[in-house]
Amino acid sequence: MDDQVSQLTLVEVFRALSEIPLNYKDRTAALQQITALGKETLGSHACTLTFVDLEGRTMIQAACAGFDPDFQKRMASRRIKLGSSAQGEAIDYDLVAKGEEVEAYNLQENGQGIAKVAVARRYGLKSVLAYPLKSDGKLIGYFNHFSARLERFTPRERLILEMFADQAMITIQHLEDLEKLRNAQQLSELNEIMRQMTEAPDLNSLLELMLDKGLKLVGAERGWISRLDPNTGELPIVSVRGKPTHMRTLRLGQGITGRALREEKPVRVDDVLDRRWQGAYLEYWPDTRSELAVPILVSNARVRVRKRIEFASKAIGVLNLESPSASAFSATDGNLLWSLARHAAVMLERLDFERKVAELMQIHAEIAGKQDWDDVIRSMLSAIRNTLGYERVNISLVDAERKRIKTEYIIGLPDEEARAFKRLADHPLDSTDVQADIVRRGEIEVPDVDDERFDPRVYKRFHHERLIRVFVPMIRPSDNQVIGTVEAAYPRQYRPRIYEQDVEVLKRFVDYTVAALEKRQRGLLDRVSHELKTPIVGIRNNASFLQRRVSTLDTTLVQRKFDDILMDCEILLLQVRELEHILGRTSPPAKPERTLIFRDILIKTIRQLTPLIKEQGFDPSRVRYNPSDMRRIRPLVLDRAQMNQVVYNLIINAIKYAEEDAGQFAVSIEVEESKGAYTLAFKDWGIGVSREYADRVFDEGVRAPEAVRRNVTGSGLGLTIARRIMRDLGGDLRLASLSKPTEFRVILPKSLEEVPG
Amino acid sequence: MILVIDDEKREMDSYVQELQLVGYEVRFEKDVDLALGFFEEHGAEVDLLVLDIMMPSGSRFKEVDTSRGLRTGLLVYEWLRERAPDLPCLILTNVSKEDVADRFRTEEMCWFLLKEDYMPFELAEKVASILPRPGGRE
Repeated sequence: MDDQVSQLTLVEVFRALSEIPLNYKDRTAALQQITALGKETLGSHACTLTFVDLEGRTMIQAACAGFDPDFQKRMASRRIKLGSSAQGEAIDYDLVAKGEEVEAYNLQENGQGIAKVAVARRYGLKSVLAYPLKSDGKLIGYFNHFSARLERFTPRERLILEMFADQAMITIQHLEDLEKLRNAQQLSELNEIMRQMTEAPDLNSLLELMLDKGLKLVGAERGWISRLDPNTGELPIVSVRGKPTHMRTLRLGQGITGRALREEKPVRVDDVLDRRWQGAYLEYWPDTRSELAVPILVSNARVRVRKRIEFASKAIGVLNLESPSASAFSATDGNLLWSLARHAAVMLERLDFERKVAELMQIHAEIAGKQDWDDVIRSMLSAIRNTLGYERVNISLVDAERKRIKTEYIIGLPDEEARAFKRLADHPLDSTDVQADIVRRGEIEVPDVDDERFDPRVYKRFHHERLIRVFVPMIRPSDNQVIGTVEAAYPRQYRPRIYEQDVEVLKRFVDYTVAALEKRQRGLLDRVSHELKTPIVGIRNNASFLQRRVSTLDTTLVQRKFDDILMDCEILLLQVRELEHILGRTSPPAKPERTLIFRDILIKTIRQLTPLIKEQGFDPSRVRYNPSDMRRIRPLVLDRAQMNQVVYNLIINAIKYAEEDAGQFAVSIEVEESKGAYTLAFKDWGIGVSREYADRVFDEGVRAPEAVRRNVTGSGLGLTIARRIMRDLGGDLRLASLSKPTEFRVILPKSLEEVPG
Repeated sequence: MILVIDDEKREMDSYVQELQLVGYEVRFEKDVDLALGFFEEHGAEVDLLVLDIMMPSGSRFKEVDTSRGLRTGLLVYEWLRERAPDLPCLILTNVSKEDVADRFRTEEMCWFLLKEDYMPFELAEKVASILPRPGGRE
């Protein structure tokens, strides 16, 4: 769906479809209503509904809309012979029997069946898209969407037809159920109950209504409803009538209740004392003699299998009725309640869908108010878990520079395990790993449980054999780039499928969130562009000022102007690198050269930053280090500009987050040596890092609220980039102490030492 | 006296020095709290205001949403405008967002200038067109 409106409209359409059986009087009129609704929803020139009888090699014209009433009347129930493709306007048997989506163009020259050439010309029909209707996998007919255009059908048209036809199929099935019921009184009672169900405001009231009315419909007084917990396979009782003496929670397959749901059909027990039910019947009332257990399930739910849509049943719960009389329930009672339960299942699905959409709308609003990337992602994760009911969710992001996809966020695993997961789920983009493949293809997928693209290390360690998982690409709307993937999973033992309704809600939510993230990134760009202008304007103003006044200024001021210019140039270079990072550009390859950390990096950076330190009213001599300690670091081979960027960021943070009292400003840089590395400890006695932000100081775009309130600008990328540089060098950047002093440790591995000779 | 409020002191140095060299008395404040405190005491002496937009909120606007500092200048402007409706104000900023510019363009006695369009001597000329130079130096 392209937008909110169309999705809401479809919900309305589905509601209208599910209400058609409520006013059921005659089948033809009901089928006519379906085609009329289809025509309106699809914006068709005309619509028809045809059933197929493959054995009798015929097609039955069930209903149509968009033709004149006389023609429609004549066409109703008309049988059309299926022939071979060589037989002119007759429809090809093989094509129909395939049961796939069919499209045909230029009907006014080569129309077939109901849309034979003369009819196509009379009604202006030019092309048709036919979608197969299937019940339990068996082809029963087609829903046909006629267009007055010759152009190919759009993906959107196909999608809406598909969604409409699938929902129509559920309605048709209801109509078939009703057809089986002969008792007019019961039928009208059933219709009335269904109508009331349609108005139920929430899930619980719908279940209560179903139980009360179901009991009344067949003249029983005791019963209950169990609802399947798809994670545990348990069937807890959610509503009960008639005061049972025993209450127990069964599991799928257990007892008569569990059996009805597993076998997906009503189980009628005339006498629980009969030997064949011994062990199966579990006592709720001591005097019960007969029982009727009716599964509540959606029989034609759309499910995602790999990239395709298939159909499967979706178990929801069981309606159970008991009676102290033997043979209390008839086959008709079974059919009546089976019909009621199917209708209730559709209603329950709809309520569930509406609840999820409503909850996610609220989360949209929350996300819109969030300022940083990390908060947005965390909200996204918990919404997917809490609202959409997935047990484990992870988000992997593409690192364009390293050409890898890596899990960055995960929910549903203990901390230790989550860390291990993140370590392992890190793959090159050109690898065969499933995440990399989703990024390349940009398509939603529910891989088979034994899909070869799963990384065996991750699969085994995290018991992925017990999960069914959906992968949704995160596609940036501005350029359609896949920036990452969302993987959502639940245990597959009792819910072995991923339902398309959930995939659609998930997809919309992911799209919304990615768009929100992009907006935030644009905000980041705005901030960076503002910061780029500051040094550029500074350089230009100083140059202009010097040009006009150099002859009249004293040399100290001239020197200060030059210092400012040089410093602005350095700032500018660093900011351009940040910009490159935001844009996901690959920075130029590192230029390793022999570097003395003390002389070439530390002293140079402190000197560059002196004007800034002075500007803040701080004393540059309070940036302290012990030169002889520093000189212990042997020459290292690394890219000076990159190392300079790391040190620059650490010192500038110490300045930015200093206490307001200039007297307290102090920075100390110490060196420690261990077997494999040198560690540079940068300590400052500023305002520190709050515990809340400790885990996130290295996250992209994160700036503490203090940074916003105080005299601190910045894109929030400095530490992210600095840590990446250190890790690329084989070292690290760590936050070792939060405050008084705040301590960042730069780990320089000795592997960078210059090899003598 | 010209009151200059901007959190970037180094960047503003050339502007301030140029204005001083052409004869204006300039008071520079890099902190919103100090600037407004100064105005409360010496508002009557201020003849023209030069104000940046994107600034830290300071404690004065701590509880207000400044959109990460993007609205601080606007809040300062509104605060000052209430107290000095006729004070000429030059908004001098790097923020080139149209909606920000539009907010000021409709104001009386207010000029919206982008720093990138004004070198120090050009700012001095702009100021001179509004506020005659004392003593007419240079």
